Amino acid sequence: MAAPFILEVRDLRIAFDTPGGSVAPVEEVSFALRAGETLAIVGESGCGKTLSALSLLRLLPKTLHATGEIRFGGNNLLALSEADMSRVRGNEIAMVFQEPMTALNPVLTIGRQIAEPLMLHNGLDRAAAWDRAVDMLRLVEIPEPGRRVNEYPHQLSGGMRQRAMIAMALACSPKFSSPTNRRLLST
Amino acid sequence: MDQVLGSTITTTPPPMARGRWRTVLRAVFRHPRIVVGGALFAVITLLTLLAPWLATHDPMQINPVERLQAPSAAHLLGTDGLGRDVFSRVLYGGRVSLFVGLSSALAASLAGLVLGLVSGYVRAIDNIVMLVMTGLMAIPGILLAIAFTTLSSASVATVVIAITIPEVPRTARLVRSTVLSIREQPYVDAAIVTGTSFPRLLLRHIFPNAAAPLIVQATFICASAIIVEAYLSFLGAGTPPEIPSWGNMIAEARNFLRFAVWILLYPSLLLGVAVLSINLLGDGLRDWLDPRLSGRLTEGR
Amino acid sequence: MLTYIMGRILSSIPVMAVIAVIVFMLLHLTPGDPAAIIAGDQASAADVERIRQALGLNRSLPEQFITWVGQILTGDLGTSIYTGRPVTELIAQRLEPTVSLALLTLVVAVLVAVPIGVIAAWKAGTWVDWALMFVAILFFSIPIFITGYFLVFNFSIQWRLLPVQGYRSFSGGIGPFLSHLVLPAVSLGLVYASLLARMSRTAMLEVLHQDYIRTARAKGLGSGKVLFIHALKNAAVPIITTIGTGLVLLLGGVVVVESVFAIPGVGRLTVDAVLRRDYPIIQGVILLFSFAYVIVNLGIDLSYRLVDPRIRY
Repeated sequence: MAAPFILEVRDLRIAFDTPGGSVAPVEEVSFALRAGETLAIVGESGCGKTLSALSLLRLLPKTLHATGEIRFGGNNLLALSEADMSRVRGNEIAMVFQEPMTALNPVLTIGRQIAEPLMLHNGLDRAAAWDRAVDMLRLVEIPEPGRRVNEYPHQLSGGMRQRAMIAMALACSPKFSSPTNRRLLST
Repeated sequence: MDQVLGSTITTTPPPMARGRWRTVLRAVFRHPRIVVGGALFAVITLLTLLAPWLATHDPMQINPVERLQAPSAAHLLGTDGLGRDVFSRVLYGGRVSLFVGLSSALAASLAGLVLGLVSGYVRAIDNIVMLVMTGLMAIPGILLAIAFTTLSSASVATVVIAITIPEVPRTARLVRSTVLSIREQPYVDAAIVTGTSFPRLLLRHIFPNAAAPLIVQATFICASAIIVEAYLSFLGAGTPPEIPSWGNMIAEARNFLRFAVWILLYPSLLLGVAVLSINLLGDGLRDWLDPRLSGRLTEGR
Repeated sequence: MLTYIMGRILSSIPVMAVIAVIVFMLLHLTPGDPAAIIAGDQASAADVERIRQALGLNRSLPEQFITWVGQILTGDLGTSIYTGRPVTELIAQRLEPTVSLALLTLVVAVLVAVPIGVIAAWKAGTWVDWALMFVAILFFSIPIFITGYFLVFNFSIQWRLLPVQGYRSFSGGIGPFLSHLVLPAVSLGLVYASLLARMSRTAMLEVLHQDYIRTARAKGLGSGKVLFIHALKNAAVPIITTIGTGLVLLLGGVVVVESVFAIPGVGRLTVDAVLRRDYPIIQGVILLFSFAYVIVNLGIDLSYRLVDPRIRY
């Protein structure tokens, strides 16, 4: 018997209100995923890939609302409280964003940005989280991780920023990570 | 200026004839600050303009027998330390405050327009003018105004000049930055290449672009000027004490704070409401006309 | 880095020079004979001549300017016409209350206003935002002395909780020091805090829709951390710029608030000088405050690097 689904999305609909009624850029989206599986969602630009991925973490812009069902770890994510949702974000579901240049905070060090979720979700202290951040940078094959960890995003090359972004997403060993970048496949 | 105003404002559709109240309500709902601020300001302006008809007493008439009387039918807002009618003085006092506010706003806008245009166009002058403006901005406006009025004979005109000078850097820099950004626009290059004359360039391209932020700035200067006039009068460096102005009234009232609050209360209330209405108006106008500047209040005074 | 700092320091010298020229010219460009106006209506010709001598108005303009600049450079701000004592000495005696008041107000206003701006931006478009910003514009519209008298009337006269006026030095204990400064600081700070709260809101609004805010939330960070660490640090440059430029409001307001609360500081000295038309004192205070403004803003300029590592020297 196949392993149970860890993520099931049913009838996802993402809509925004206009004076003329509700408009839905994403409608009737359903998919499911087992542990160890990779799912690629392919489509032309503007078809709603990013919106669907964002809805998994409930990070849609305020003007958009998602309905339907997103089952993960026995819960419907769309019905969780904001506090419970925080424990899912970064911890159980991580996200790798498209543009590392804008998705990384320009005024915080790379190390701090990777260490942050570790301190929050895994209960590591500052020093342990920092060491783990260096390990993560090494894992994604960034040269001189001990030096890079203290640097700011603008000091890294584009490729290194992309890897740092991945390191940040994987830091807490999430059950599921959702890259929103097609380039990731070729990296 | 009328032409400039027209060109900016007609971008919104004219109100429809049907349901006048509905139109009014919609305007209030869409631009609450403009409507509420504008209405309050209009009421206060009207009150001061109608002072000769509304006032129940001569605002200068001293009447020691009736001094420090609480508000009553005879004296709607009571009397002050010299027995003068507070209601009548508040009405007349507003004339000075509003006059100073409006003329300072106008003067600062005109001076800023000239200085901003000149330094935006003439590179050689630009550095010097901007350096002087930077220097002026470092001097607290109240102190500069105090110094100016101390050195000049006391009059309302002196007060207007004293209040205007510290405000000029803000308008000048505003106009200058508009000129500089306009000069970068391809359509302005095109206009110059096709032989548009300088006055025409000014009228067609510079003014319409500078008008909206300048009007907003002028509104804030007006509010600030009314406050500074009150400060100057309060400190004894402003409007001559024999002329009733809100600042003078408050300055005199402070001695009676313990037993005759009304002398202080009413001019303060009108001053506060007048300034608030103008600031609301400016705030609303800015969000409407110039969303880029959203959230910025003038840093003057 | 060091060359940048030196460059910035050097570039503030022309600004101070311009300020000195403006203050100097004020005395000479104002219509009428300043000596006669300062002397007043009842003055004799001898009085006017004495004041003209004291202000150095009898010499040629360039000569006066050079002498005056020379004096400023040696820390000599001239002599008070009324008391005949050096302006520098008179100001030094009055400095402590003014510095205490200004610093206390500055610190409290920043600590209150910035979080208010952050919260308003976070709740943008809701009634919370609307209410906070209405209060900010309201306090920005009320002159300092009205707030001051309102507070005195309630807290000091009606409820007898705080002293009506005066100043107690810090050396006499922190209790009396603070109880005398609370009302003046609140009156002075409301205007400044309103300006700052609105600017913080605007700066935060620009930051909050950035991608890295979404990233921070995707990591599971709570609103507090997202707002006050990830967002505020990015919004810090415009906010601290406003802290600096808004100082003009604070320094100007000191003159008014010291008059309301009878605080024996530099502001009060200025007001007394206005009543006596003691121009050298007014001139000295203007120079002092303007130079203080330039120096603080220079420091702020140099501090940008601390909050934004992208800024290079």
